[in-house]
Amino acid sequence: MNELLAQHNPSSIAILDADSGTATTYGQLLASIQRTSDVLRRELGRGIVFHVATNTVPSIVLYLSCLELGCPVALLEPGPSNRLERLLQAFDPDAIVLPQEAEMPASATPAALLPDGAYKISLRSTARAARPLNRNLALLLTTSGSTGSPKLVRLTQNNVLANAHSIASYLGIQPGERSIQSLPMHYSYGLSLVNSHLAAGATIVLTRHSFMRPEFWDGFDRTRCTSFAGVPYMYETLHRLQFHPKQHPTMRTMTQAGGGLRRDLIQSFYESSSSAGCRFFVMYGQTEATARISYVPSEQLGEKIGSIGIPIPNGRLSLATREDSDQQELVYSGPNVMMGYAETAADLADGDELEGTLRTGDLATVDNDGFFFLAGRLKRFAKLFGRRISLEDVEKDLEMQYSIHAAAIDRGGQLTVYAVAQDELLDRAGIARYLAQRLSVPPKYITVDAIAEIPMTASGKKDYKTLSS
Amino acid sequence: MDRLLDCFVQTFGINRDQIIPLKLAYQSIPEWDSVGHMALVAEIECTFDIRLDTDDIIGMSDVSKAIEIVQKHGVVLDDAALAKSR
Repeated sequence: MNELLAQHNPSSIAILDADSGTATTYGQLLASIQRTSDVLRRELGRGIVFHVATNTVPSIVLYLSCLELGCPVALLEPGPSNRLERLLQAFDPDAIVLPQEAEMPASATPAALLPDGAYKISLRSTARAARPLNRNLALLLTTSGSTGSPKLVRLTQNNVLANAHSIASYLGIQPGERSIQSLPMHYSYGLSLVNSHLAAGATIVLTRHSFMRPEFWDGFDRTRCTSFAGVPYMYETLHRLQFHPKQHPTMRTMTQAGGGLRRDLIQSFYESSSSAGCRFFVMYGQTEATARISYVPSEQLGEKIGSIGIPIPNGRLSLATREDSDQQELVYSGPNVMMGYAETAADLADGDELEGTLRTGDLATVDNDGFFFLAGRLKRFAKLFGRRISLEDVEKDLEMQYSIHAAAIDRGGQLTVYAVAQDELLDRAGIARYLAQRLSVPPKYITVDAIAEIPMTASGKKDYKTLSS
Repeated sequence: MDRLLDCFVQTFGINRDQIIPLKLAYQSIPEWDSVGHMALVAEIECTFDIRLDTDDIIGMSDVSKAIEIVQKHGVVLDDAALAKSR
């Protein structure tokens, strides 16, 4: 990645802070990466870094420094230190880096400040025997909405670069482009904004404000941003707030991914963006493919509403027949497909298990023009605020945490958990609060009920159909 | 008034005694983030059968503002409880 950064004009702006107005040029960015890399190399060698990521310059510098050094880096969501503790126990990283003001997990040793003082580093064991690490492993990302046993996606530097180039190519990202960082960096879509714009020599604009605050859009206008990215709930909210791209004269590109947006809203944003002379891209992807898999070319969106589009440059989509379903599964092949998952520290030594082909777990169809349409999931998921929550993971999590046997279903946007327990002994509110915190959704969208036993199908599986009726 | 405070209790899963009108504000607790904010808007609209406009949604930055906004929409809140809450 850094070789690529060095090719851009050193005086053009890589990162612009909309709140403070501070600009970081490509030249300054490379110098910061150099300083931070030197410290990391001295302290750590090639070790695994767990990085609590924030949308700030020091966080981006740390991420790029790890890539530069070949230290596999996991980008994690800021949150309570007990959540981090579980990941530390499972993967035993060599170092944790987190914002200076964040609370250190109990198992961490005292921390030293990194060069610019905004982040601190804590080494976890200095006398450790060198552990086997796959030599291509560069980046670890959490999958969206996973709870229970922590699971990380194993990515290589090639995955990251290939996806960044594909995205920059179909979106036509040029050095003059300014993209507001509206999504967190620990999330694959948010990280893809950083990677694709830096790869293209464009500018990332940072703000601490939420997309629904006027301050966010003031910053957008003031720094003359050209593009905005959002997941479905953000577009739903913008629609509620009577947002129109015309209100922001410098807007040229809007992108949407992270789940299916309601068709009427796709139509509405397609119309409003067209009338404002701006492009609207509906896209599809998975963290397992670094981020992006397919997109609908903006000029064809009008005829292809509801489609996930065509494969990104250098990618290929096909449909595979499955024995357990009369529908077909969407299969993606490309240079951005992960090596595999990691569930334990030992898995970090594993090689490429997928060899460039990912079974997406999504059922799909394709039309005569080669546009793909999703038709359901093989695995069971709930959809809350556009966030995909694995119902299987929720059940596993509750078994581990509360030792209860449970069945989870999505009842019209309400995550409903049936727990085998005596009615009066079930801590409904406690479990709902626990899940709400784990999944970052308001507790009112979670219902917990006691049930005498979970109905089973003839083949001995949980009978979700009966539970849902 | 109880019905309005219940909206906060229900949406954020907090206790009634955590609701301090000038202190409980947008982003003051992890639950009141942008997702939580829209859930709160939906809860208030549903509870009082009103429709908040753009300025209401953006302006509802703490509990006191929420009181003002629902009153503006013609909702009558219990005065005694209101006085106590301020």
